[in-house]
Amino acid sequence: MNIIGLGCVSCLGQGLSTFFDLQSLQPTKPERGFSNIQLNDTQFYQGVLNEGMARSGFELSLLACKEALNDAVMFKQEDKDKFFLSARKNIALVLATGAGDTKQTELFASDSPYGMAKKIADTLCLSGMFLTISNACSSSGYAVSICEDLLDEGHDAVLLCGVEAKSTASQAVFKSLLVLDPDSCRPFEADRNGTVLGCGAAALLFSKNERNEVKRYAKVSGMSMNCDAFHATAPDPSGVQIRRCIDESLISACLSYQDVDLLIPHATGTQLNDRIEMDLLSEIFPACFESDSILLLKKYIGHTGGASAAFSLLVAALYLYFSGVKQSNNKNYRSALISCTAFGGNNSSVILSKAC
Amino acid sequence: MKRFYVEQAIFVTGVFEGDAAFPNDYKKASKDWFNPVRYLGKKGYKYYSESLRYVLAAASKLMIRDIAGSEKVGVFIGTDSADVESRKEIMENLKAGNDVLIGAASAPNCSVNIAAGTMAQKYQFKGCSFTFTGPEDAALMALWKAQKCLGSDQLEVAIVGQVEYINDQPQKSGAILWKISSSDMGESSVEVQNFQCQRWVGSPDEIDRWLPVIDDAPIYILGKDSLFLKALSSNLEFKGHSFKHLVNDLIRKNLSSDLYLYSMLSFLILKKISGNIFVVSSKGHVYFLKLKC
Repeated sequence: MNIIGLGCVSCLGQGLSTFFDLQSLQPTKPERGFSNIQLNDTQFYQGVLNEGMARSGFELSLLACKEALNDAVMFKQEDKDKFFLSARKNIALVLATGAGDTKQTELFASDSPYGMAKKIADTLCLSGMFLTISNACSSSGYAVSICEDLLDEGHDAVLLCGVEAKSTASQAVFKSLLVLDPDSCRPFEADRNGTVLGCGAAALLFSKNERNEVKRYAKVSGMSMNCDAFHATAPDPSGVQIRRCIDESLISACLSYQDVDLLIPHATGTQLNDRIEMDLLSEIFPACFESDSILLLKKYIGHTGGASAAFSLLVAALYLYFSGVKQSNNKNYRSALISCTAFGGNNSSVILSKAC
Repeated sequence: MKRFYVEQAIFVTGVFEGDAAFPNDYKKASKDWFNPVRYLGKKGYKYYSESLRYVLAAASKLMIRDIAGSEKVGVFIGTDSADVESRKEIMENLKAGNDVLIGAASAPNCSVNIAAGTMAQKYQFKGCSFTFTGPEDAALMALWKAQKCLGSDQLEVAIVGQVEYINDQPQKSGAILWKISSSDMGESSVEVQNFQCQRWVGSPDEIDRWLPVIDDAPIYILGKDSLFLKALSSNLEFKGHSFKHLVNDLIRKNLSSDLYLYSMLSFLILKKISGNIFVVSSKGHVYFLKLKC
């Protein structure tokens, strides 16, 4: 299964270029994003997004999806209309989100935040299946397996869009659990003190149909999902299920630990999550803490909830495709491991490799 | 041939509780119809949302204790409203100017996947667990994915279902859970074959996809009146197939509209009705399956 189109919008701005050569960027500083007295002491990664855009899951998704669809055809201009019209007839949509279109429930007091998928599919004239998966922070990681299933059902392509909008309720939840850092998201740093939420959408277009594949960013070579079954919100300190997830994804990809050149862990900045990941990754990828082998994405865009794995997949795909070209290092990346954990104990691990 | 087996189906809803065939002496439920003590005992769920209590109540009636601790069991839940109650509480506290918007013990209820996660934790199910969201057919998507996981041997057993909670009409709320497996567990289980889903875009040729697998068993259509149901009906008639559109006004009027499709399918399972089943959502998704009882 190949990734043939990408699109995104985040606190860094709109478009793929915002994620080129991340390692040369300084970590982003969040701001006091909520005016309510109860939350105005908390930080949020909103960046260049205005309040209306940040709050609207629908608008964020639409921007990212449009870019991904256009990106998939950009190098075959003469066939663009033909591909666009014919391919869109059988493209499915998988929306991955933790809390849905929270603008509906929080600003308009409507009861259904999870009706976005149909609206997006109709707006983009996608006539394949559309569905929403909400596995909290692992939503996008789990969604990759659904994309493969939908391609096997006969769709020409599947658009995966991870999206998380700015949400008062979500901010309150994280504050009540005492997992918000008062300063910024500083994953794996010794003085880290929690995570900081962000918003945005990342879209990836998947295909198994070579006829439609003008450009291949990367291929999905392995994946695995499981559940800690330990606690509603905290990961299992032993890391056993996370380790099993990573191992099974490598087995499904027929790869070993040494074949992985790039790690994008969940790395939220919380004491517990980061300790588990650091202990585990330093054991099985001892060289991974070199600066160009591990990307801690949340220090740039915050914790984007259900979209976080989609952003990780997007960045990994860019690194694999532009390996040695658009990065300030000249490292040649062969494969990347993207892992995430979530409320409910859901773990996922996806391996992306350089496309043929 | 793709197949799985439904061993049990349990209702914990305002309209009906249990796993027998639908009773004839239905009495309209009151707002406090649900008694968690009957299912969960007196303690251990004080900070759980109503929707989470419904799911755990239904799970308590499934025969799943013997598969506790397995890495080959997963939970698949569909819902449109499981987190709404808790998120509304936060917004109401915000409007009221309260200092604390939500307590730490209740906060996890705001994560819509907490029902699947809590069930996995309670029974130590370590396989993959999914929560699908959206109106009408989220549970059918959950069933589709569960079938895929069984078919690829990722899992041996899946707990699949739906939960909905309507804040001001709790009597229309509830949970329905199935226990499904890749192995035939005997006479009591219902075999499900060829479960597929497709978006219906209106072309008459689309029905051709299912014609090769429709056998001589009766054809039933489940779904509310919609453009897509009419299109499917017309196409079946055109191809010379007779069918029956099954409706249940009791469910339609007294249960959350999002629970309608899954509850209708569940009743076919409980009543052991064999046939070629089309389930049509008003969004244009068409699900096909064969039930063999």
